[in-house]
Amino acid sequence: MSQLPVLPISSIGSLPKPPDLFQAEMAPLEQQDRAWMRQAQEAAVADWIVTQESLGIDVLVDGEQYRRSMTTYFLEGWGCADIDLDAVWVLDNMYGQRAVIKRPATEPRTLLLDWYQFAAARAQSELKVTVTGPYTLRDWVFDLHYPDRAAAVLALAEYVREEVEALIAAGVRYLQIDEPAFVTRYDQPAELDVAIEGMRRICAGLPEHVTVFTHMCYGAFHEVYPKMLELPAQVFCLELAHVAPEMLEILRKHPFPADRGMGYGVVDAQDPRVESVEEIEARIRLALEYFTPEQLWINPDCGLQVVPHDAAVAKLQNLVEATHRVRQALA
Amino acid sequence: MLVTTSGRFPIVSNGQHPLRAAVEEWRGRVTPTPEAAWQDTKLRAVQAETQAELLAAQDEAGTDILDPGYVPVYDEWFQMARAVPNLEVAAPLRYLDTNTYYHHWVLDRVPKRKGESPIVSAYRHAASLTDAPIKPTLFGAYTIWAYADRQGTGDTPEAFAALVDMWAADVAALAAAGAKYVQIEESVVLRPKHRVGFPLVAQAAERMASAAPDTTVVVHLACGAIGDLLEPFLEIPGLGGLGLDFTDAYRAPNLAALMEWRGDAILQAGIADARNIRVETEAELHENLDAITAIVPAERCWAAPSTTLLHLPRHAAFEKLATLARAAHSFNGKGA
Repeated sequence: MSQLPVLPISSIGSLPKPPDLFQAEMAPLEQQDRAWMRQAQEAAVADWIVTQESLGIDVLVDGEQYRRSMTTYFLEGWGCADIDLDAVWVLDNMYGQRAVIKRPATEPRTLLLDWYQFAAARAQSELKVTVTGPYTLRDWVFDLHYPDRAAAVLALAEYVREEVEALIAAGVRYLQIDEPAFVTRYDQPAELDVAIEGMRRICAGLPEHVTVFTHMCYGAFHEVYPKMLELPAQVFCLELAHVAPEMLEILRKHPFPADRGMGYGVVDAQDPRVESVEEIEARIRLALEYFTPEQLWINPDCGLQVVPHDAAVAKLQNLVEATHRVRQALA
Repeated sequence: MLVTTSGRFPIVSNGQHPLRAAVEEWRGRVTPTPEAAWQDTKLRAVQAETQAELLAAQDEAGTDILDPGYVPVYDEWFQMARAVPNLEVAAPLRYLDTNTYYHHWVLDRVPKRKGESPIVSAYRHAASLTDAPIKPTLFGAYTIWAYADRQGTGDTPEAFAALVDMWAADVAALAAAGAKYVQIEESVVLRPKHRVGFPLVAQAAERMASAAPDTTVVVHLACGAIGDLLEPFLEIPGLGGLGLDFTDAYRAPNLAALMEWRGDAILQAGIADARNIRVETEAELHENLDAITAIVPAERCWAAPSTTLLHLPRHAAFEKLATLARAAHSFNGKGA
């Protein structure tokens, strides 16, 4: 296993899809050419692995090229949800079809296994596998099956746990459980406790050689910090390129624990503007005022799927260059 | 008990709607700005057609007080920005705890109003299409302020007062156009971080109410528990009504807070969960109304969705609205 450098660089999860693949997966399910899509998805994953390695990313992701969305992919694949065809507004002119949970899972909870094996066979570098956490899987969809939110989250946690067990048996060492919804209902302590319990059930007894990340974005982190530290993750990947003063203030009051890592977001994942190396370097140096070099991972704010392909590559390129400059200064 | 709605509606069915297609076409040929959207006659024509469609759908569902059916280009914050010359609208931010995102304003100076916001002309169009009362919804000045990137003189009491003046001018224009009701969306003030913003919300609400003394101005507070803010809200001079959320986790705390209700304000009771696809039964809605009207007289209550139905698929939104209307109207009969 390779030794990671100081300030290891990773991506968060999603990366832009080829336009024809994006168009194809937006079509109604019955109109989709699954065989063609599988080929296109494999080609896109393989392409992003080559791209990330050529850029100098230390821990790669597969870019989630085969997921229509971070919730529907799992819920549909496990057989426990149907997709409502009346898409729901998200932002601008973008609408998303929502899954509706209608039954317990009917399909094996090993969706990610062959994608991990596909990516691992092509990667020279370490891979990080991303899976959506049970709290977000519940919060971002509709539910007509479970009696309440907690019951749904804990049931879904069991399904995620099965995905994770299969991945670890196949050799996964870096695992990211995405819980962006954790930063939303911070006014309801019971909700946070459910989310924490869900992740605990997934992570209980995992081998020590597995590094568990969690990722959150576009929320008021300061409202859930330090409570978020009850999540059993070793590394917290947060969207911090435009870090709120309130977050820095609370980090001064409650310093981040020395035994946990911070995946510090240094490029905006929604803005297609490519930040300069100097801008990104300044963000890393700001991070170093609050975290030791040994604690820090460097990553984009979030998955880069919504920015154009060339902008995503350029952002990663500048992120790598900025990190190298800071590493040199630290050496 | 009258039945009303709470802000805009979902439009697409199976991914399609003429307005969605028109916005896609528009942003393919121009740089999308609030002013460009306002100036685009083709786009506005499709928005007007959409209003007619949504007014008819609300009427068919049995709604008594209708939303104008206005669907903005991108989002309300984006479109409202055309009222302020040279205002920068920045990237979308997540709104409350929803999975929806709105373009926030960059307030780097004291804002000056150029003209009315698009909701005023949308109201006029809606009023020309129906005889039913219409209640337009404006995102409140405090919400825009709370989410804004405020810098320099844009982060001063004068800047907030200028925002309030803009909103008051819109409310006055709506009243002049015949609006008997206006809803102001200020749910953000119930979030823990923003509760300290109550004095600003109160300042804005009082100013808007005074700008249209014959119009019932309803401040709507969804997705939160009002708690100790209920009394100060009810003390806002001229406030015509308050919208509260009686669904999900907020039902119990808001019912408890309601014990302090007093005065003549309207309670817009959000009893249909606008963020859950499951359609309540009429019996469940009656149970909720029983609990509420045990405290606030039924004649001062409106039955409503808990927040905008935008968070639901279109078919579910209107099914929910129709069930709500049946339940509220049969509740009237039950009480008689």
